[in-house]
Order: sequence, then C-alpha cells, then structure tokens
Amino acid sequence: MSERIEGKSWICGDSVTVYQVLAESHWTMKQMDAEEMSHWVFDELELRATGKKDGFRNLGYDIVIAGKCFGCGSKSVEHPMAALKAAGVKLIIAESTSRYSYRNAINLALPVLLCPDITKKVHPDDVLSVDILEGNIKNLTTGEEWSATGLGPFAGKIISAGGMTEMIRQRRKEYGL
Amino acid sequence: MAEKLLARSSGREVRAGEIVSARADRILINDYVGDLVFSKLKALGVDRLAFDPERIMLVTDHNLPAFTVDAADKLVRFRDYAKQYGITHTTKLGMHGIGHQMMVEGFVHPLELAVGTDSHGTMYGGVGAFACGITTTDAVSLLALGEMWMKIPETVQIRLTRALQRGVTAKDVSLNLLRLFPEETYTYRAVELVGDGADRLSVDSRLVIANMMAEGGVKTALFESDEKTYAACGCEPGERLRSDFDATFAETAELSLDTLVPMLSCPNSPANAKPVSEVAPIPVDQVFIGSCTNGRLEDLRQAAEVLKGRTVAKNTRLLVTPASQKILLQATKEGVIETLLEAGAAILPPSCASCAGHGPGLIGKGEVCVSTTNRNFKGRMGSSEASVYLGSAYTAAACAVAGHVADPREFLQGAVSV
Repeated sequence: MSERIEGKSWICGDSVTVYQVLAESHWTMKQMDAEEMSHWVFDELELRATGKKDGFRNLGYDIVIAGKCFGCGSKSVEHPMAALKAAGVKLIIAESTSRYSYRNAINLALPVLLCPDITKKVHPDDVLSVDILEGNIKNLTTGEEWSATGLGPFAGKIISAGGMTEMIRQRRKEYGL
Repeated sequence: MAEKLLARSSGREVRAGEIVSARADRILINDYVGDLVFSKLKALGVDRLAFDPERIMLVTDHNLPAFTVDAADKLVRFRDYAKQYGITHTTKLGMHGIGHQMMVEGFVHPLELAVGTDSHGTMYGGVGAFACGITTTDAVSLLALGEMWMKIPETVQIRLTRALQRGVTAKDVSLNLLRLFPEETYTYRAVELVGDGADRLSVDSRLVIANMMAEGGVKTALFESDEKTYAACGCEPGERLRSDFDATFAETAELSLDTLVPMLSCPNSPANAKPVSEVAPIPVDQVFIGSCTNGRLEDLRQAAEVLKGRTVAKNTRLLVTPASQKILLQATKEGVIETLLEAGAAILPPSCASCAGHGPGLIGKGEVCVSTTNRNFKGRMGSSEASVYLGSAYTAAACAVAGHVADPREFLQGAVSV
C-alpha cells in the first residue's frame, strides 16, 4: 500500500451521520456486500449526489473532506464505511470523526486523517496529494500545504496489512493459533 | 478512571492518545451483527476461539420471539454458533432479556473491560466497568486473537451534586447532559460521572445514564463502584473504582441535580431536549416503556406510581416491555404489572421490541410516540413520517394517562407544585 494517496476531493459538512453516508435500508446484514451497497453512498445526503443509483460513485471522487464528527449516529456497523470504500473513496480527511466510523474505516483499510478546519481549506474538486503516515497534505490545485494528524504506526500497520481482518490472519500465524 | 481500567486490560501503564492491545473480560454479541461476526470467523478458519467461551454472552434480542421465518432461521444459526464454539451463555426464551440487561444481571463485574457489538455497550459503565460498543471486526479480533486495539481516550469529568427532585429521573439527567454540552465534549472520550449526586443514584439509574451517553458519541461512561454496585452485580465487594484526585481531564463540568426538571427530547435527536413543560400538549398515539435504557424495575415502578388507579387515555395505547424476564417476574411479584394491566397497558415479552425498528410496537405514518428508549432519529421506531419523543417512565406514563404530552409531576402524590 502506497503511503501517498492522490485524488479529487468531495466536501461535506459537520455531523454527517452514518445513515447519511449510507441509508440503513441498504445495509446488507446477513453478509457484507460492499459492492452492492456502494451504489447508494451519500444517497441521503443530497449534497451533490444525484439520489440515483451510483449518484456519488459516478462522480469519481477519491477523497472525502469532512467537518466535525464525521460518521456520527453512534452506530457500530461497518457497512457505511465499507460502502464508501467500495464507491472508490481512498481517504477521509475530517475535522473529527465518531469513534465507530474511525475504527470501522481503519479496520477496513480506509485511512482517516484528522485536520482542523480542513473543510474551510479545501475547495470542491481540488486535487490533493497526501502522505497518510506523516499527515502532510499538498493541494495540487492551489499549491497550498497543510499538516494533519497522520495515521501513526499502529493504524499505519493495519492499513498496510490491507485491513484488520488480514492483520488478524497474520497475527494468528505469529501467535501459533 | 478510564486509564486505570485500560492499564489493567493491557498489562501496562497507559496514557491518553496511545493505542494498546487490550484483552476484554466480557463480550456481548447480539443478533444484529452476530451473523457477520461468525461468518468472518469461518472465513478466517477459526475452529477454536482464543477467548474463553464462558465469558461470551451470545444473545438474540432484536427479533424475539421469532415472528418471521428469517428470524426463526437466525435463531437456528445462533444455536449452531453456540454449539460449535462451546458458548453456554445464550438466549433461552423464558430466561432471556435484552442483551445489555443480561450483561448487568451478574455477568459483568466492576473494574472489568466489558464490550458489546452494539453502541449501547457503554451501559455496563453503570456498574463500574470500562464498557464500550465495538465493531464487528473488533469482536472477530477478540475471538480470534484474544485482543483488540484500543485508543486510550481523554477523560471528561462530570460532577453530579445534590439530589433529584420528585418526578425527575436519571433519564432527565441524561437528556440534560446531551443538551448542555456540544458533541465535541463527548466524542471519542471517556466520561466519568462522580460526586455526591452520582453516589446517591441507584444502580438502575446509573445504567440509564451510562446507556444514554452513547448518544453523545462517548467511548465509555463510567461511574465509581460502591456497595450498591457490588450488591447489584451479586458479587462480593472487591476493589473499588475511584477517580484519582490528581487525574488530568480534558474538560470538567458540574451539574446540580436539584435544579433539573422532567425533560423530553423532541424529534429527531436525543440532544434536542426541552423541559416537558415547554413542549406543547400534542396528542400522543403510542407510549412505549421499555428498552435497555429504561425497561428496568425502577422504571416499571415509576410507571405504576403514575398509573395506579388511573387508566390510559382513550385514543392512546401503552406498550410496556420489561428489559428481562427477571425484571418481569419481580415486577409481577410486587404487583407492578397488575397495576399496569389494570390501567390498560399491553405487556410485551422482554426484547428490544420497536426501539430499533425491528420488533413489535412500530408506529405508523403521522403518529406520535412518547418513548423511554434512547433514539428518536427519523424512522427509528417505524414510519419515517412518525415522530418520537424521548423521556422517563414517569413522563411516558403521564402522557399515557393524559393522552397528550404532560408533565409527570402533576400525577405524583407529594410532588412539588409545578
């Protein structure tokens, strides 16, 4: 996994709930089906998604720039973050996140960086180049640079392993389980 | 307190911001995500758990008793999971309850690290455990490795002082806490609740607050453990959990309990709370008393206090769902259930019922429900065109009698004038 992620930014405001990331009616509870769910990401938010199948996905965004408490709604299910990743999102940069959404994203190898006022710094469609471990953000559209809280070594390891499930597999071998 | 408890679980000193591998003492897996947990274990080829099966509570509480064939099939799968992995603490209809309630009926002990695959897993903080909800993958990590990663949270200390007035409850304390502080105060943090006001609260009441703090986005909400805690957990008094006088806090706050009044959270957010007296007396179609938040004996007694010698209003229905069979039995022995039935309440078997929109008691288009549950998001208890107001069992019962939003203090003997 590359330490640097480059892509086009999609911006959403404060307190976006997991239900707005993906409406509960689309959560596949018997088996996680990220591909199926990805068609409906941000369908409820109605910011720039079209409200139709693949409305967000077809816009081709790579980075979600979010305000405070991204992924709130206090829901522990992994589906919204899994759907976001399957819809092509490679990175989330938020002012803050809910605990579950942070854990779920990291566990699913979707990196999350924290950066104060990021929604005021980045403009829609700006192309960013981000060092996810160190937290350095370069705005290739405007030439500006900012520092975010990077992943740190532990979360970095989960991302490099390809997610927590893969890390569990590796550790079971190490532990002789 | 949070750091002390996580240091015990990770075997070393810890500081806020660090990430550690923690070993949990107890885990709840419920029917909402259970299939996902066990299918991941299967995909990883885990035949034998790296976690003591005796410390797992595997429950079905969202769809119970099974009322669809899918729900019945799920019960069969859960029986198979339990058999395969040697899990003995499972749901047996008739000895059952909402999973979070089963966790605090003698399973979780003070000072333990207790987690659940559901956001209201914070509730066990009411018995002095470090308690939090976990994700599906976290549960898989605990079962397959015996550990999960945890970020050591910053702590916010809230000092509760003095005593609640008559007709005012822990639910009203919770709704005030959610209303008074912004989400940033709570998000991803440990909240410890201390002070003479916290000491005075019953364990049932502490469980309400620890449960409701999940709505603020906390990692955990902790009460100190005392004699009441050990009695409630049915275990010998042991080491007490106490807040250190020299601990470092991200924020501190104080709330004087005697200033509080009955509250209602208006649609569509628990934090959208107002004094009941400031909410218009809108007609109420359904009143729901139950859930892991307010389905305990203390709540049923409160409801009975209001409903004694009164009847539910003509155009209102009252559903009461005790949180466990144990509570239902005790409430029956005390005559509480008789009082509720005489008033015209429908008593449902213990389960999550309509709280999360999966069980009986859903509300239809345009209906208004006053509920003792924890969430009033749009569509949470049924139709997305219905409205849910959250309050205490006192308030809910008062609304059932009045047929509209009403202040419970008008219905209580010996109440202060309102």
